[in-house]
Amino acid sequence: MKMHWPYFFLLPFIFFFVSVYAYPIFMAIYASLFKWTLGATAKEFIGLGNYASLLADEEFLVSLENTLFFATLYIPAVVSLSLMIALWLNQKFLRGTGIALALLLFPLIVPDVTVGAIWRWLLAEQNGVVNNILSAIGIGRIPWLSTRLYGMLGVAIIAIWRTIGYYTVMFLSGLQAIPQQYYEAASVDGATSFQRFRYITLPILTPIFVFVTSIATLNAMQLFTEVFIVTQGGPGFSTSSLVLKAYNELYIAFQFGKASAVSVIIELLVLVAVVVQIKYIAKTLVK
Amino acid sequence: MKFRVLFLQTLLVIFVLVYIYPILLSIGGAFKWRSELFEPTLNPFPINFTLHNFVSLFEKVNVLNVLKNSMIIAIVAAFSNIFLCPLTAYPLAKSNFKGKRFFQLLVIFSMVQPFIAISIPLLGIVVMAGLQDTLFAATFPFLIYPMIVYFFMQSLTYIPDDLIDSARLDGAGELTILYRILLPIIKATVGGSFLLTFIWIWNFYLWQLMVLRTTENMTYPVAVGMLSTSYFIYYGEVFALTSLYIVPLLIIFLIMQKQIVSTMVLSGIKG
Repeated sequence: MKMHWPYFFLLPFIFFFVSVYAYPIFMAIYASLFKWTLGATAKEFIGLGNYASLLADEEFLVSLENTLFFATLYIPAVVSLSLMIALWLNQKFLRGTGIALALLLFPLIVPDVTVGAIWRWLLAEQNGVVNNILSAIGIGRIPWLSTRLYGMLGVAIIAIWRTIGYYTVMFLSGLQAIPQQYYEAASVDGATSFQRFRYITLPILTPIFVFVTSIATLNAMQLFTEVFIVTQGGPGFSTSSLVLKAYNELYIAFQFGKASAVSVIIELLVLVAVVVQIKYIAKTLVK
Repeated sequence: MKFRVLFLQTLLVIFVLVYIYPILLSIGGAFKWRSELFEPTLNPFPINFTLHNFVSLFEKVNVLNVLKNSMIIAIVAAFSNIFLCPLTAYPLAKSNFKGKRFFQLLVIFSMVQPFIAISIPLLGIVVMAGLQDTLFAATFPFLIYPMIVYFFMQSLTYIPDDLIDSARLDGAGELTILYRILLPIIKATVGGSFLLTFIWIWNFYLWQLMVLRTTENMTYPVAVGMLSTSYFIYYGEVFALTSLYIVPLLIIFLIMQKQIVSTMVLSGIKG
């Protein structure tokens, strides 16, 4: 009995893992090999046909491009900005940092959908608040929601704004865990503030840095809500994302097989992007 | 030095105000007339105060039902997480058994799963099982968040083994040790996990949109989605619904913000 209790404790997780992760992933790989309409019992095996048709599908390629473009904007931006804000909030002499932090997390508790509605209104080409400010300072009106480049930029700005508090909390928790004596000892030895940052703060923050980067990557690859609610992927499909493409395949076209193929591709992209980080995180666990 | 303090302090206030400005606008917008909503103004406060949006909202959407459904899903998932995640994390952090490493890797692996890759086949399964449009289907995938398991694993490792060993010598069972002795010690993690799970699921648009279709089972995000189509957005009503929804959460949030931070501190994400 003594030896068996860990397995009993793990039973709910095992059941959960199989039904919510393992089986659906297997199912997605399986379904992606068929021409399969949602809800239909009849399906036709077409091998890699779905993948081939995706590679020839302009909408898919644009979605892939947009998702990768978004990731290259989003990941460096959130990682560096949240680290900077965390360092700033960690200054002992500042007042009200607790409230500031709570307010930074505020966009997280506002539902995605409302965030979309607010920003659609803020970014409206005519009379939108952002464009009003930009034209007042002489930059002029930017067609945020009606062109591909500015649409993706707008989507990235919204996503960064919405999630930065989350990453800031992670960095801040790491900064606060650094014993103050380290800095005092370094100061006694005559270390400059840059040296203290470079040789004390950075090494200790490395695991958090890895964690934040992998979560940011995961979130970037799953770009959906901002696009769905702000641009609907438009004009046309120019600002579509991979997840939106999968969603459309399923809900507009009812192509369960093709939608599954898109989700397998997303899965592979995420795995490739975070495999190094996963290895690192696994190493930090107790054996 | 004095100047630098003052500068950074002022900058902080300005930064935070700009940062939450969109939210101020939407809460203020709930009390504005539609004509005023479209004025090119930077003022978040209404000039002609009105409750019109709320009246209209209650006519269009069964608000209480929406809040009730969202609440049920979020509370069930949050409670499930603070019971099942420590149950999973405890053996992985504090015991030795064959396959421990494998299960640890399973947790990490599921932590970085893109939910969309799962949600499409999962929806197929839900449809086949005839569970579409049930609150059960909306809740089930969130009963265990692997990331919360990870947080519990990390904070449990901080507890000395001696404490657990002496409890075992006193004849305490493993469940008693976990729920009666260990969880009270890491109650900040429990509180923070509850809150994080609650927020995540309260906000999760995609899955609820996929499985909940009828108005009876409609949750908050689906209701807002209904109020904003690609052709027309009932901005006033959306803002009114948002205010009804975030103000209670904001209060809980401001009270419990220390817990969120300390969860992350405790979970350490250490090297």
